Amino acid sequence: MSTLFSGIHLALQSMLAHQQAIEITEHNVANANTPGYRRQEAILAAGHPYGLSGLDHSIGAGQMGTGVTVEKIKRFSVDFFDGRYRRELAESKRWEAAYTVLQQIEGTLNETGSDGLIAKLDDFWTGWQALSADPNNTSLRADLYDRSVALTEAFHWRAQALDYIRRDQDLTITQRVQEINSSAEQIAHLNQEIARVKSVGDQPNDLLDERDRLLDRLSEIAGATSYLQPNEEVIVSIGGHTLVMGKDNFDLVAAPDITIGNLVKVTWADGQSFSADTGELKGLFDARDIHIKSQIDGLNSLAGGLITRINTIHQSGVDLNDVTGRVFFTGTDARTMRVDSALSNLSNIAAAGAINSPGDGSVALQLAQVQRELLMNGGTTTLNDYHNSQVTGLGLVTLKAHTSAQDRGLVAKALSDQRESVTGVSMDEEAANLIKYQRAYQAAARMMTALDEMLDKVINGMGVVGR
Amino acid sequence: MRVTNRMMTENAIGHLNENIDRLNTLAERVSSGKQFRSASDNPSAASASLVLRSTLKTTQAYLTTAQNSDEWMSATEFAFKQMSDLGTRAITLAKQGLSDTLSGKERRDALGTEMTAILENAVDIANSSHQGNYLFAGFKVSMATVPFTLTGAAVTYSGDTGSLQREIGPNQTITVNVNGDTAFTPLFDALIDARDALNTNNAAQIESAVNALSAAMDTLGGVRTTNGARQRQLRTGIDRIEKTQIELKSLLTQKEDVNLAEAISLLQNQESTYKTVLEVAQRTISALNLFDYLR
Repeated sequence: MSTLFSGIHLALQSMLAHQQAIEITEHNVANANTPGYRRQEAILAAGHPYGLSGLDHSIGAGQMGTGVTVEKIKRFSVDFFDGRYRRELAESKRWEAAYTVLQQIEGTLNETGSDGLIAKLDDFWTGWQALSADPNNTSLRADLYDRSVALTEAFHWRAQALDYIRRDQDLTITQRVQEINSSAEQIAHLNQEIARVKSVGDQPNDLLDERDRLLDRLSEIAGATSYLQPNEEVIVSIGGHTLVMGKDNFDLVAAPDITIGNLVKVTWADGQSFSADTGELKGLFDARDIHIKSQIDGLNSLAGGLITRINTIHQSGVDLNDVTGRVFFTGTDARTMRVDSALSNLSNIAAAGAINSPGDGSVALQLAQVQRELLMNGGTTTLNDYHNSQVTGLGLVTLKAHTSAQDRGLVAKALSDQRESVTGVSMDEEAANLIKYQRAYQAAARMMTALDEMLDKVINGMGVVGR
Repeated sequence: MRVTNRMMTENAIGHLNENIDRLNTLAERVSSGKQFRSASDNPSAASASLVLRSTLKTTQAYLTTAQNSDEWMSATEFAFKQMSDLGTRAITLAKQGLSDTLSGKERRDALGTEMTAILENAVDIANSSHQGNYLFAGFKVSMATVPFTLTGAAVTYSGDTGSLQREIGPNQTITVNVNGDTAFTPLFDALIDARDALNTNNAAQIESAVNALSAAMDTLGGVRTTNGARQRQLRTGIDRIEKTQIELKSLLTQKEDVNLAEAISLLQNQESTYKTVLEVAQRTISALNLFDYLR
């Protein structure tokens, strides 16, 4: 049988339930800008009803309601979007990372500017061309010498700049590996907490948010994939190797490796090799080990081809002192290439084809014509065209990275918007909810006042007839 | 779709970035006057412009060489002209020497002396140089002695037969010098003969010297014609190079340079777009929400 006291209890429960709902609204508003936060909602449910006992049936109908309770705190999440979103995010970060590096190379080398290597090569060729027309002219010789030195310096500078940019990536790679390790540790810890909270029947909403945020970040860095287990723990793996399993995490190690020129190599702590299929690390590795490397290799084979051919012809020529067989360049690649020091004495530059012929520029002419010789790519390309295709190749790769980053970024953005549309906090909604709960709270308080008055009547106003 | 405040803010920021990036690209295009900054902006145009710039530079080198060669050949032609005047004067002198009205002394003193002067003059001309290089010494454009030395009865040539090749186009070379020995030695021999004949008053020898002089002049003329023909060919070449250069420059401009009128109007257009985006962003970011209205 219902009593007036149970009515007070019912009103109190309603006040408490709405107070909690208001607190949840407050939590939502407070976290409107927190990254990874997903809005929560109090799920109100009617209390368990009870039937009137047979004895009481004569005074009313059965199944009395018992008011309201907060049944659970719901977290708005869409696990379905998470997987797709993280895949696209990883791809867009992969290309973005590569683009940043490639853009840096393009900007540094500035091959399309007037200071490009092709311009320096052309200066070299035209230097020989001019000398061939007036072989014993000292100022032309000095000019050619200066141009040749400028050419070798252009080679060095490029080789060095590429090497620096390449090594710079190691710093980022190391930092990212550290971030993966610490995130993995946090996730392992969160797994444990979440499973514990779940086991007592509560919703670990904010812990889940934190774990999802870390999972987002891990996919950004290395394209990590996760699998949710029935006990709400996640298994995280990168490139087929487990990173987190339950409360355990497996570390990655980044250390310089002698076999790849002391560049940083990433391996699993258990010795297995690490490979990221996507994500920022993939972009960085691609840039470092494929794109920059091919630029360095191209530069070296260009320098090598140039040195060999120029030396062969120059050695066949005769200088103004009737000496033959001098090399023009020393060194073998872009880094070691130098103009032979003997040539700083300008009369040692060989331009003639025979002794005692200061007016003969036939060898200088032959050297100028190396410009048109098909020396590279197995005798199909000139030196200039070889470098031109290097420059264009880099341009194309950069362009591809840029457009891929943009395209994938747009897809990720669209998915993120969809996710946000479900999980994000809307101020208008919260305002409306706040009012809704506030009014219900006020009404419950009024109810309690009414019941209080009724009790007052019973206690103080009854049984005083005729007093 | 449910729209949240954060979505609106993030979208507004995204659009702002996009538009300012575009604005930046267009502004850079206008201020640099170039269509692209690096190869990735337009790989094919960048590749073409690199090739064009290379070709332009090489062409400029060919042009310089061709112009220098032209000067060399003009100097050669000038030497030939002087030499030819001397030769004509020598023939006139020798023919005067055949006249019966002159005495042996007159022949020797008046004609022989002038003939000697002509010979010395001719050797000087044959030794002429252009910018410090001997014109008629083959490869030996510079050496301790002069190419032609007069030693009493003969002129010795110490140059060689080298022909100076100049490249004025891809695989297109021309010879810029003539062989001094072939061109001048017959004339020198004839002049020496004529001088000796006049000095020794030998009529028969004078007569044969006149014939030798005429023959030497023919040889000289032949070589001179060769030089003239080559110079004409060279000038056609220069003409062609200059035209190619103009063509290349206009192609390069097409590939590289920005159409300024178009770029500026695009920039202005983008500016007003950006202003609009700012206006809209201001509204979305500071957007009112229900909290402002409930009390």
